[in-house]
Amino acid sequence: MEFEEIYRTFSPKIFRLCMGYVNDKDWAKDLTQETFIQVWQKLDTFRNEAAIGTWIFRIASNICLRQIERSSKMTNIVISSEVEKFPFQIEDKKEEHLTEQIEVLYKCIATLEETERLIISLVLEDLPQKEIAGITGISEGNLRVKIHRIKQTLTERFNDYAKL
Amino acid sequence: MQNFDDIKNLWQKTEEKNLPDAAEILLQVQKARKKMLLKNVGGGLLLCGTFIFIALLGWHYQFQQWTTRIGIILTLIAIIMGIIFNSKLVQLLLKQSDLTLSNTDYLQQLIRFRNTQRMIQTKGITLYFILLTIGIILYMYEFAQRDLTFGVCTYAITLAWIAFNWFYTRKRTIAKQQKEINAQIENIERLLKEY
Repeated sequence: MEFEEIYRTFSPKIFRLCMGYVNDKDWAKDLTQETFIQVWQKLDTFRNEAAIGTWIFRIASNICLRQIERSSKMTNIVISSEVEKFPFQIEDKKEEHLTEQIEVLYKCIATLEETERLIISLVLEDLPQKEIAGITGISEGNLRVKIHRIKQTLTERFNDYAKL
Repeated sequence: MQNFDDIKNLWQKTEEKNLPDAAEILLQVQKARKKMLLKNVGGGLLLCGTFIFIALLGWHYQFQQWTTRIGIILTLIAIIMGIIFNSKLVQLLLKQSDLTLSNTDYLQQLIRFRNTQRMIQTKGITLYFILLTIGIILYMYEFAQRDLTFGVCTYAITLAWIAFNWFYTRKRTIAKQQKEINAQIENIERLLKEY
């Protein structure tokens, strides 16, 4: 697979993962870029032992996790009603509503613990549990329980938020 | 009331239209490489410059005794070492980190790096002070010999100053660095525990 093809296929997914982790558009873009710089540099060391997607998600999630080394911003991501609106291109009312809902979703994810944010983002990307276990390094049994709990928490928070 | 599948649909509708294209990423890679190359060249030049400086110093002043020259060399080594330990060490370690590991392995790797950093820094500072002290003592010997009273006074003042740094500044610096690193390790351990 050529780099450009890889980038086209995976950059939207990686952006969503990073966005789920930091809930900040510019920061998420930087992290996405950092991920693909790494992907490009390491591509020749990739030996089909896993799917390329899993490999890229592993790099991206580690880059997210290491943000803890770089700033204290990470510790206080809070839900704020004044969070800057995403500059998604809004065309009509329907789209506006969608944008708002997406914003609420990211805010709800931001209330989860850091590692839970990564796990749920991978679930939302429809990755099989086996692959998520490979990315995170948790056993499948343990992961199943965790995913179940995180799904429940997120759905509850999302519905609570929607009621407000 | 939305269920999890609705949430998943919503998630997958997020599209960022302003992501840079692949060509731009490759441009960034090139830029990063150039920067790295310049940095390496810069570091090499700095090192060469220092050695030339030492050589010129020895040649220009024609010090009578070997103690003076060794003193200068030790002092300079201490200073260079200090600069490296203070700024480059973390980057050097982090550059080796393997991002393709699983999350838990990666976090453990980060903890190992931090522990290494903690050890090297503590030992590094101690070594820095020892080299600096020996360097200064040797350097001053030639001048102190020329006038005994002046020599004794200068030695006394210098040694007092070194003692102050050894018992106060060194301890404080180590404590401060340890605190920072320990906080980092604690944070990483918290992440690991979440898994």
